[in-house]
Amino acid sequence: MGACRWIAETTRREFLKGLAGAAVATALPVPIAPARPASAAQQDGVRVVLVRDRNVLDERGRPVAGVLARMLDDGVAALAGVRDPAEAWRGLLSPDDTVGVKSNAWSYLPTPPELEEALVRRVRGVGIPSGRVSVDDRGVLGDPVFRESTALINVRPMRTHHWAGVGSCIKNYIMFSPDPPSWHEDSCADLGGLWDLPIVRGKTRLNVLVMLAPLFHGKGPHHFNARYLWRYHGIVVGRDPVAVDATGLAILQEMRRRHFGAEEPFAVPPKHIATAERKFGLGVADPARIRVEKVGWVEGALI
Amino acid sequence: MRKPVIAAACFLLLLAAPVSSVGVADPADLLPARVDGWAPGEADGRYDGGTLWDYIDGAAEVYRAFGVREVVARRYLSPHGADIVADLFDMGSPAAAYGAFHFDAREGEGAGIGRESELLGSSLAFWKDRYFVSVIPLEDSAAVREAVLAIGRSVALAIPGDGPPPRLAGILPPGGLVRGQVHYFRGSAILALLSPLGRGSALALHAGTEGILARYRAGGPTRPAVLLLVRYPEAREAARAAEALREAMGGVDGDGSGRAADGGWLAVRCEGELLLAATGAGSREEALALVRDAAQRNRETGGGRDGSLPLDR
Repeated sequence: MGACRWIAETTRREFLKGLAGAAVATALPVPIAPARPASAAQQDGVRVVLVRDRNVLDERGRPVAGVLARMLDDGVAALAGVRDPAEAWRGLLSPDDTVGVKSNAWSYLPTPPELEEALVRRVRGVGIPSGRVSVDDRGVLGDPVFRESTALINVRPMRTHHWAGVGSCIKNYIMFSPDPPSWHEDSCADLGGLWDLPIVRGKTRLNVLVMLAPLFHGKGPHHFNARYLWRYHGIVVGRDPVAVDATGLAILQEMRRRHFGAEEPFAVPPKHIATAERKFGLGVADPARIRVEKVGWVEGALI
Repeated sequence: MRKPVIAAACFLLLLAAPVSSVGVADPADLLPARVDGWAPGEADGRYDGGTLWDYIDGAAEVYRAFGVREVVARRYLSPHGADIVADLFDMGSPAAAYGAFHFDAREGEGAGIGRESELLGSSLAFWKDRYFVSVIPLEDSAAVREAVLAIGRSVALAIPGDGPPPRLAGILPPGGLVRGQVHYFRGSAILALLSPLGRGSALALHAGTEGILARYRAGGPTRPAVLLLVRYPEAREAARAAEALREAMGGVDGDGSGRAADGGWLAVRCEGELLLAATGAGSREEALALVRDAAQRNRETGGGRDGSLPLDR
């Protein structure tokens, strides 16, 4: 980690403030569902890493490959608690793994190809041959690497979403379903159930929520307007997809608050994040049990 | 024998044709070939109601509910600026094009393009005749905005007709109307997305119903009031729906008004095939005035059948 980088922990008060605002603004309804017993991680709390670098976007907002790759390295190393990113990756994957990198191809705000390439480089660095790693989105069910995968890496940009409230790491697995529209009911509340599909269950080693320039509001046929892209210069990295998404949601909500000058509810409440914990036991959505470790540029972090 | 058959077929075709709308041979011809250095970078995307899911992530159901016939998607590229995506929706009728435009709140500035338009940042949306048009750049800048506007003006000029808004829009009382929050709908899917009023079964909406939901400044201190108009094919359907709505809202007094559990005032009444409901009003008088004024305009316009809004935003 370079000398100019530093690590700080978000205070619980700051984070609670952000999430409490999000909860009020989105009026998240309490899902009526049987709760699963809390896992050890859910009881003990989890950690996610927020990495930001003010140089990761050029003047037109395009990612700078080298900076982005270094942010990924910093995030994964911090998450593992080691200095060497290669060592951190060896803790995530083994040379015997077959790895699917679940990306997101939405044309208005796709996963940056530069980040996909950085991920593949690190996967290959573990000793996994090119034939046993694949990057895909809409074709995952037909992709032999994904079908035979032993490990998944989940990477996508954060954005508001017409049906689900937000496009999140949890939601990114909808393409593993043979019938994606069947998950749309009730604001896509049950998206956490995707993670129980056999092709997915227990395989995810890393979640990367891309927040270089997240879409914090949308309208129109594509729910996209470049005016609502916030140059945030960040990524959120974690093992727990629910905690990663809850952190991203708090940041997005603060962007909305600052842009609109008041609490601005999402057009559709992003209830699937809280439901993923409460109903599916997928991870931790409660901000009181999420520790956000900040790496890099802290100004304007919003949480 | 053949002539009467042909004549009957022509008559049926005329009946099926949307009122006051003009179709063109190929909607793609309405999109400009080149604008200010931007030119198509790939073949147009062509979609219908059955394939729109392939193109639009999430919101396709909105346009399908209005009966979208075809969408032409053209991506313009420039070596010096961001890509621009122009989508031309042939909605089949001016009312459906109006509905597609008004599904979103329209609180941005008008651009003087088409019947109604909104320029928000560098993104443009407008409707004219049976077409709803969305022009979205991937970046926001003054140069891109000019290209977006040039594309929009070109498309609007190429659309031969004009087309009226739906007749129901003409009976909305103008006083206090939040013009950016007027939403037209058909059937049940759209209203369910727009308001809790559409999520129960009380209104018994179906493919033959149309309605409009509008927000008014007459609401309480923190929110606007809502006026809902639904036209049913038959008066008895409207009467049943009004009764069910009154029950769903916890009952009303003899004048058709009452106070909801959330503290807002509501009023429900029926005028022939038209159901009128106001919710979230700041007082009983405001709720009653909204439905009374709309009912009056409904009668004045012959059941909303010749109404129109001035649409020069």
